[in-house]
Amino acid sequence: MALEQVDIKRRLSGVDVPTRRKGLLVTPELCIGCRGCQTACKEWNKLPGDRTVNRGTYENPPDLTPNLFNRIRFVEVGSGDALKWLFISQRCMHCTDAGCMKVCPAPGALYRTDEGAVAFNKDKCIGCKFCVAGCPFNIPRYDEQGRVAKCHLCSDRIAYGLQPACAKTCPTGAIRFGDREELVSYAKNVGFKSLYGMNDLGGLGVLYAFKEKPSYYGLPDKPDFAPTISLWKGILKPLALIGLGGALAAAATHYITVGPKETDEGGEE
Amino acid sequence: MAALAESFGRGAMTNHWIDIRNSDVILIMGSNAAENHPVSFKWVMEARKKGAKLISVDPRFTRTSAKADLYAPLRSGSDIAFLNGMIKYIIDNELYDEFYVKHYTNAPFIVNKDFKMPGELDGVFSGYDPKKRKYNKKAWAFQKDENGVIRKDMTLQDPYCVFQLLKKHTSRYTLDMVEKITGTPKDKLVEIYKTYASSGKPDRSATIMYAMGWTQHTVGTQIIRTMAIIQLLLGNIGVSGGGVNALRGESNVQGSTDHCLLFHILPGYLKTPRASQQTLTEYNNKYTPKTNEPMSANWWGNYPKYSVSLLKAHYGAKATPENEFGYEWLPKLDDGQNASWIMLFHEMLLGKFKGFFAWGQNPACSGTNAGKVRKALAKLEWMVNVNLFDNETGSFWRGPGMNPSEIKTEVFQLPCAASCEKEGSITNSGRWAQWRYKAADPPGEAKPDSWIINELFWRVKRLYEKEGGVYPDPVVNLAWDYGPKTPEGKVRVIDPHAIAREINGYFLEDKVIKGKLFKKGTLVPSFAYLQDDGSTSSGNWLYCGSYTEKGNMMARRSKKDPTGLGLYPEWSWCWPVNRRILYNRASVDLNGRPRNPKRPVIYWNGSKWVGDVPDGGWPPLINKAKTRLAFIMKPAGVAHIFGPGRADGPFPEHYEPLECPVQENPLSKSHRINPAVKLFFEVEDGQEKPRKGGGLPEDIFATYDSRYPYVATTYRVTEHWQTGVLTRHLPWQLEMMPQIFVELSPELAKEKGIRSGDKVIVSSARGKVWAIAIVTNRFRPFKIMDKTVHQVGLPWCFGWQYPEDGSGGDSSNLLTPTIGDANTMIPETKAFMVNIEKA
Amino acid sequence: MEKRLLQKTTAWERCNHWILALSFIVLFLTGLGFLYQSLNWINTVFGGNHLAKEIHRWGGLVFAISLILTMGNYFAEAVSFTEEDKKWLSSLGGYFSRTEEPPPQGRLNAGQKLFYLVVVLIFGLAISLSGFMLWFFNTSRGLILFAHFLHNLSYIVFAFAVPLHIYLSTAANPGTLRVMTRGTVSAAWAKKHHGKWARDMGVD
Ligand code: HEM
Ligand code: SF4
Ligand code: SF4
Ligand code: SF4
Repeated sequence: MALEQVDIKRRLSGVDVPTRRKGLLVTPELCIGCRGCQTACKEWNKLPGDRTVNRGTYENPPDLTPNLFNRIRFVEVGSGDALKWLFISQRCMHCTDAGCMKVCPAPGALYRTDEGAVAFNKDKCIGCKFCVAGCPFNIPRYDEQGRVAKCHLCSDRIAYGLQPACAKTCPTGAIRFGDREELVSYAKNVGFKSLYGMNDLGGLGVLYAFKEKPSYYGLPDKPDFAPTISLWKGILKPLALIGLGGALAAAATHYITVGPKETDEGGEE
Repeated sequence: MAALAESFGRGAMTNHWIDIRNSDVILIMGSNAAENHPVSFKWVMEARKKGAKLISVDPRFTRTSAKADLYAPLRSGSDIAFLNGMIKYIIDNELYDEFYVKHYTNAPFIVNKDFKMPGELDGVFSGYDPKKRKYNKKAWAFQKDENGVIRKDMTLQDPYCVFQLLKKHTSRYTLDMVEKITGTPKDKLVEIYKTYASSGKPDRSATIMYAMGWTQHTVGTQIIRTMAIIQLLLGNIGVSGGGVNALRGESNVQGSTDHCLLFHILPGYLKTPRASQQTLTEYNNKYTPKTNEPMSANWWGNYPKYSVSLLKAHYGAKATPENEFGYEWLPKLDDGQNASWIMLFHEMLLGKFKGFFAWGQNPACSGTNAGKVRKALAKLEWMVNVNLFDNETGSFWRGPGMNPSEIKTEVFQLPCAASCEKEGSITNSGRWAQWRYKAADPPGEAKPDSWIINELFWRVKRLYEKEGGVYPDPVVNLAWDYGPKTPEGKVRVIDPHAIAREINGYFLEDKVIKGKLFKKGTLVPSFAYLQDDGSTSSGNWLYCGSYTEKGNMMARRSKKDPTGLGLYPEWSWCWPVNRRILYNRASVDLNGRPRNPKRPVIYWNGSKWVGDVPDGGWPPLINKAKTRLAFIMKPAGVAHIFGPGRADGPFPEHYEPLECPVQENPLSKSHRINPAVKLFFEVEDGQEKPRKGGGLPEDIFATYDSRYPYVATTYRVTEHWQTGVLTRHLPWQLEMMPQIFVELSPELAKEKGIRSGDKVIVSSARGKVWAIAIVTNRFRPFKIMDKTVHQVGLPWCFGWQYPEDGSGGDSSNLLTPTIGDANTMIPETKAFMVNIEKA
Repeated sequence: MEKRLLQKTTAWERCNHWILALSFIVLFLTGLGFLYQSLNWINTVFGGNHLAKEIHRWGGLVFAISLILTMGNYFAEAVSFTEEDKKWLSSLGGYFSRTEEPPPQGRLNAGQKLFYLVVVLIFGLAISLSGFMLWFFNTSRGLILFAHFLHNLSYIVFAFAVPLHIYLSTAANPGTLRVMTRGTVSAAWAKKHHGKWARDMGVD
């Protein structure tokens, strides 16, 4: 079932679920790198396992793929007594200002659900691969047909009031699902003053509770997409329509007011 | 388990998973809970949230260490030195819980004056016989008064009292010495000792989570004993957030051990009879402990009630007082016989077995010295491999180095159902027996184990009935009433509820007990009602109460938590008698008031105990006439700091692993390894040879040998389960962990010219495997006895048979030695010596 | 005055122009369908996003080739800037008065030249090149972002300019469409709109 149809099906099914903005709170501090979430995501989304090799690290596969929406990165920092081993979930952030959606030329291929997730519809996707360029986090991937694939915040689960598969599986609460506002206040309560994604890009749907700077965990300190995207989406795109309308209106006005430049053919007769 | 039974009386996790959240300090050592028990980390993290300190001690920095407040490396096999150092620190700095030590342990007991310790006898305790490699335990006896009551010194000052002996014994484990043996830097030692010992105050508790990293050593039992002693000194047993918590390697290991997985026990930890115990009376007398201690409950005094009820469950109406309830039919071990894992395959290689059921196991990968195991399988006439998938065991005959045309073993593969494809109970590490329902039908021809056993039993029984045979009685007399039967008498489908009820036990006749009438055929409400006259049955006395007239207690799912400690008394059922924290009467003072008012497990309200199910309902210690001591399973009623029941000494002493990087034991010249372990191979006058009357060339080892200079250990990873038979077939799991790897430090990698991702060969005296190198700062070189010693580690969850292209690699148990713990014969797979070279 | 017809475009020029015009319309419409959720139905008419994408890509190729040929047709004239052009510009081509007539123009007036230079040459190249980048070099993040912006910016320019161009070629200047249908214009038309050219062609 295309994810988009879930919405319709849900409404028809009469399941009454609040459509406040939902989100995830990821706390690397709590993550034990068990990768239950990585597997659960695959299971729920019926994604096949790929053949891999050991590259001299536990981390595998080496990158997100169209068959891998959520990946735990294993990062060793420092050595000796200062050694740290970080486990960081890499996945779509469900940005409010979603670069992917802004550049996407195929309406409906990427869409916003009632819960605020950025979901995708492979049927609508034209495989242009613009969205990965538009994404500040390098998230979208493309299957053999070139269709987009990425985390969709389990929009086909949360629409029915279920938790996303990854959050449900996580044994330690490192991935926590809930109303975005509640997650923010929860994080405040447990001592995280500021959250990554609280205000970035209009507020991310996936919030990270970081102890160090985001770059320490391999995420951009100030995530942003290329300025041209905002220029386009914010100013130019509306202009195009105005332009078209304006040009037509101008022509019409001209025709009516000034009038055409008739050639005096009659006099020739 | 041996260590826990010796120390406290019962061989099981004293507390339970959820209780970990109540700890103030959590030590994870000899286990890697984050990777192998990830769900337990929910509770570890909850504890940390409340301010608990998490300590991880491990040869390598693991996913557990990544979450720890404090991490220290130690060389594999040096745990006793590390922990004895902690005992010394606790005693020297008087950080122990004096009240607890005096009232709940045998610290005040006075030992015979001629008792000597390794410090005096160069590495052994009194009573050692080097020829037999055995102790005469009489040398470890307590002094007794004229009534046969043990002499005690409640001031703990007598030089022969257990406390003073312990102090003397551990005085050799100075920080310097411990650092030299373990390779753990001194400052880390002190930091950890200090943090852990902070739980000696009554209002603080600390817990230890250990697993195979402790048990799989020649000194495994004694490592756990050391920790038990620490917990007793700090008063951490019987309290919430405390305990010695054995994390079992599989979801139902506790259950299978309770129901006699091991050769030397019958269900409920009754002993397997020995050939010399010809009658039931002899047998019962042998295992029913006696005590002269006035305040001891000595619960094992009920032994005959449990053994007779078990026989009644086994043989039903055929078990009568006249035939000693069929005791004769029970299989018996020869005196002194050890039928543990190592011995099984040893004898198999010697050609002593015709056939073998490999049921839900994969010894060709999981067995220590797996090369030997594989050879042994070839000596069989037939083998039945019951498993979800074919594996290295079922296909051993076409494995690496095998010539199928020469192997005569006939292999039968029986596909069986997975745990979620059948109904039944599993018992977790915390002793909670939880009923589970069937989620799906088994695929294809796969059948539940009970189906297979039923068929087997029926056919074997019929053969015996038809053809007779040497001794048909044990089989033909077996009661087998597990469901509706065909006209010939075969059970059609085994009903797990019928089995659960039999395990619980029935009244077999109308019986009045304590003034209450119990009707024939009703279920026994608790083991306190079991009888030794044949009027009750119980397939496992520990589980008596799990399935009663009130219903299947294991299926309960109430989330009520009246104590707020997470005991959830109405969620499933836990043995014994639904008691969630064992020895909980050790958590109160003489008046029955909780010593930690913040987390009271139980308290005496003047007439009865409130809270958890008390470990014995007697009034508090102040009531000298009526009270019974807190450790009811120990004959003297107290926990054992001094443990005279173990094969290798009443106190733990550091011995080196069979294969180690030092020439001699830094603590004693004459005894490098545990003097009480069974040796298969020996080095005599520089000559290596199989030991007389036992060893084989396959049992070779090489210690302090320049050919194998690096310490190695094995482990599992989160992504795979045991030998990986279940998980290697799951593409998702394989995608994350596709190949065997070996982890090593950048320092060693540099010496060897190895880079991360390189293919390398790891070899030991017994075999070799290829592996992908993971060069990581998570391993660092040790300084052992002032010399640099490198350690490497590799997982044992791979095998040649799947993935079929061999891309996963083979089992690291091809490297591990033939040697086991002195008490349990659990193989020493966690410390051995290897070489590593670029492939 | 004799009824004389002047040849303004060759058959070849006309054919090419119609190819250009038609491909543009297709591109323009599918483009609209891609850009706006509310106009996505346009692409449905074209057989859904996928077919629309293919049409847009191959249509773009046709358009680009046609565009390059178009460039050749008018380049020489467009880059020569004359006195008349200056005057035409200062009177805004006389389009904002019913009476004012621009000074006599050559074959292309200044407006047409501008349209050619700015829209066709600069933005035509931009929209075609960026289109090809998006089509063939979509693995480079920087390139995609640059091309995506350029393509869309050019699109807007076209969205402004082409409708005006069409208006001017049809309704605003009756008789002009003949240039693209028959290739000939009446002498009167020529005198009125391209006086200089008419003179060069021998119309007094
Ligand atoms: C339905 C769409 C179009 C129509 C009806 C149309 C009509 C015309 C006509 C009548 C002319 C001749 C004007 C003259 O010689 O005075 C012309 C010229 C021209 N057209 Fe178009 N055109 C269309 C679309 C386009 C497009 C999409 C382009 C380029 C992107 C374009 C580029 C040109 C150029 C470069 C010239 C020659 C210079 C000029 O007249 O400005 N046209 N067109
Ligand atoms: S993270 Fe990337 S893919 Fe996800 S919503 Fe944001 S821009 Fe889109
Ligand atoms: S929210 Fe769903 S789709 Fe996204 S990572 Fe989690 S499981 Fe995968
Ligand atoms: S399930 Fe939770 S703890 Fe495990 S890897 Fe994922 S986020 Fe980390």
